[in-house]
Amino acid sequence: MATITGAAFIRGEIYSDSLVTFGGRGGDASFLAPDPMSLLDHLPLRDPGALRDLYELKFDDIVDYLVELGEGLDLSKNEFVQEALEHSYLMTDMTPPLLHRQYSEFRHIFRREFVRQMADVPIGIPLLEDWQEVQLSDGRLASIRAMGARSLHIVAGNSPFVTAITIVRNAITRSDAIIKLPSNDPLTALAIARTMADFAPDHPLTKHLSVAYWKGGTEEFEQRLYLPSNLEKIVAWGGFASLKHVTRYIHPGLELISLDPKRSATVIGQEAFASEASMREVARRAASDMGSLNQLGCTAARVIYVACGTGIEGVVKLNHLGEMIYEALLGLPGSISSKPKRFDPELRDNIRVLKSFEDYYTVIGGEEDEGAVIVSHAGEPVDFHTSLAGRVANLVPIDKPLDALRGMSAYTQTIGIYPEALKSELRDILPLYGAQRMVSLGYANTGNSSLPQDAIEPTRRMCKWIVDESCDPARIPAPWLEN
Amino acid sequence: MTSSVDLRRARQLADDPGVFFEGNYTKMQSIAWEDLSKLHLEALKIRFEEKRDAIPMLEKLSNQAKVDTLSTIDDVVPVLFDHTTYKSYPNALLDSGRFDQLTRWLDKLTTHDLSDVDASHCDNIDSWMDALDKQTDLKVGHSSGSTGTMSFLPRGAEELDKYIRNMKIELFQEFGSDEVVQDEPLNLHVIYPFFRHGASSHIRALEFWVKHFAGDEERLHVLYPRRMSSDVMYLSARIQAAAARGNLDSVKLSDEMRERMNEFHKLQKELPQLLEKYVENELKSFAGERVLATGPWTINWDMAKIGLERGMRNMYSPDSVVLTGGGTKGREVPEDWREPIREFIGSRRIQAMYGMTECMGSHLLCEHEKYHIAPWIIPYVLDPDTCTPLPRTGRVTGRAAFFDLTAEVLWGGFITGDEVTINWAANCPCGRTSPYFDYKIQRYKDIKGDDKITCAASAEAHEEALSFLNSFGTGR
Repeated sequence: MATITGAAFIRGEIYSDSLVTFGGRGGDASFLAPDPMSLLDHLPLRDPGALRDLYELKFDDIVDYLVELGEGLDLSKNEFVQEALEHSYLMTDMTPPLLHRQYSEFRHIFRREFVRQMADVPIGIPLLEDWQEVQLSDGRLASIRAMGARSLHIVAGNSPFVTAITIVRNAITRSDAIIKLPSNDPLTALAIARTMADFAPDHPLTKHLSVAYWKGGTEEFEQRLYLPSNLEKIVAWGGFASLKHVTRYIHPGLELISLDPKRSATVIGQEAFASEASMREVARRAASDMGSLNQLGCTAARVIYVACGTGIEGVVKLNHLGEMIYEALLGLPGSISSKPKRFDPELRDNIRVLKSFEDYYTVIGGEEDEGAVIVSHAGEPVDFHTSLAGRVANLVPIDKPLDALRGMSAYTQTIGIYPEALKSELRDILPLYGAQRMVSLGYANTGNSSLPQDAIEPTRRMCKWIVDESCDPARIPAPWLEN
Repeated sequence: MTSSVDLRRARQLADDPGVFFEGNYTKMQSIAWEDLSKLHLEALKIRFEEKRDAIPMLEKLSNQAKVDTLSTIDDVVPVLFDHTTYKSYPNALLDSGRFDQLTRWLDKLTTHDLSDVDASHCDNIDSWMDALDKQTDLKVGHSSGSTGTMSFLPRGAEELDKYIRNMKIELFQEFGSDEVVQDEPLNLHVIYPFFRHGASSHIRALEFWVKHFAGDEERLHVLYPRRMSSDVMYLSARIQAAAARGNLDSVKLSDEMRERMNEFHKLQKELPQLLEKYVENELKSFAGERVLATGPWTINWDMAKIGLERGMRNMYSPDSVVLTGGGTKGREVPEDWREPIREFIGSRRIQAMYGMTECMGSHLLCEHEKYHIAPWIIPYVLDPDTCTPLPRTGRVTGRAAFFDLTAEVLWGGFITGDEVTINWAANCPCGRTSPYFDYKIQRYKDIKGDDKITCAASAEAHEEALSFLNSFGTGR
């Protein structure tokens, strides 16, 4: 098995000594990275006053820097990115064409209008740039400012976009970021950091990014890093396991911003069956929602509820739609979706067993791990629906769109909906049951990072919201003057 | 060519391994592997011929895989049942009480014809189990359903009887002894800290524990003398799963069920006191006798702690046996979990084994920490991804599968979800001649990737959340 050599990057400096081996399980390549204990003295920004240099920058300086960084990340020119891509093939669950496309495109996050929007929509650039006055009805003149914090980011590794978004959010909030690398993407953040050090080695934004790997849950390391004296915020993506490690370190003064692991679903109204053409359109959109990025993301459709009716006629129609979705899935371009790199053996077994129970299920595809559409004949998802992955969707017949509610829970993120009008019908109700984002069918796996995520606004939460209140005894009753 | 003597012996091995090995554990574990393998192949052919058209699911699988005859031991692999087979019914059938349809589903998995079974009056699992008990010879056993899905395994009385008789031979002889375990019961006391009646696979075998171990119902010491409701078991798991997902309302309970759930919760709450009484009164009453204690390690550990706190040490005869193991169920396994149990019972034999309800054989752990394969079970190690058989030589790691030659009413072939390492060389220093598994056995679902973080919630995340929640509900 191949071994990849990584490094750590701490505020402009590369650390590549005291290498130890990590990972290498489940058929993955192992990788070398500095012993985390050797980094402990350097990693935390112990002096909070060291953030001051970021306030010498104008917001436009930050944008200019990020735009230049984005241009520098061009895959066709940047050797760090090329090398990271090449080695990432061995570490990721994505197929080469998918990964290549992600690597070619993640730099677009750094485009000027994108960066400005990521600051302006959730927060407002003026609040990030300077103090904003508000005259309050009790006579108080308040100034509010969104300031940065010393943050740790436990990022998800299923797409390099996650790292890129983290770096933008860190810069626009004038924060100091330590990125804990995930074992399924230990290289993207390092490539970006190296690019930063290359074109602006002494820039404050370069000096407020650190990137290192340690295995989540390494107690002796984490208990010395995860301290309110070192960090003010922890932004944690993903797994219950990784979150469980973190929660024990949360004290007053150290806040957790949790982007919980999620799953997504689809609700399709009976309008889909209006004509052969509408069915085909719906099938292509549904295939895109389940298949894009090989269903690796939280936004990917897995259980697809279809209001075709729960009688025999409904199931016949649904089987037909299922065939069309499967066909559309196989027709997606390789850079959007391709035969998965690995297929969960347990899911494969589950599918194999269902094929023998055709009274209850129709299984379309799933012959050679290429993906499958499972049509449930009863109005319930398969009992292994939490394991649907590798381009496997479960079509579930329902009588009316609201019947899909029983599949929603605190784990639900995106709901792809067809037709458009159904969205306004459902949007006041679905969120009560857990859904967080409703989107036109076919667009589930596309997104815009300036919008709220997982029902919170992470960029807002990354800021420290500071107030300066000016109070005039002539206008506001003064406590010390009361009789 | 196979001689007719071999065929007769092969049939005897499959039909009654206890008789084949003359009731002697040393013989079970001394037969040359090469000879045994030849018998395995012949016995496997017999079983395939018998069951191929008698079990609809097997017939279907054999047609799909175009398996008509077996000429090598590996030929059967494409038609082994996956471990999810026995829970492959749609959950909706169980949730909405369509037991007539569930009966039709079960019909596909057994040699018994269930087409005349009338389950139309059944309105819960308990009544369905009663109907099957009354109208068929089957003893359908179910799993704990702790993941929110319950598996149903058809069994026959005769095969369960043999299973426990074989277990008696395995458990109560030292390897090397030429003692013969007789058909008579051992008349020892059985400590069974669970329910007396019910339809879980484990309880289903209990009557044969009485027959072969206790000899008399009076020597069976249960914690709850009543029947365990299968519905309560299923619903508590469903409720916990729903709680972990945050949609508790999705579990609909009838008033009667609500009442029974409340009773069950009361019972759970009272467990610590009940366990104390059980130890202080019941378990004291036969001090000094030979016992067989069983149950998950957690409850054995709790009982031992209670006993030791009360000065109860070396309670029973030193030739007693403790048969324990089981998952961690949300509790950390202390390094020395065996010690307090050993001290309390006073037995040096805390016997661990690798086994599963789908296979009627116990692969016992030897003094060198290796699990030795019971000779009527054919082991397979498969490529975890393709499920194709790996070579049967040397030391091989892969996915465990088994063929249980003693299975009568269901198909004996079964693929687990476990990663094992087998040593085909069968050269364990303990002297047993069977191939053996290394001590470390783990579920594949627990070993996917290391520290990989994705934004998509996995089934493992669900399970972890579930066991985390459960950990609040148990333990003293």
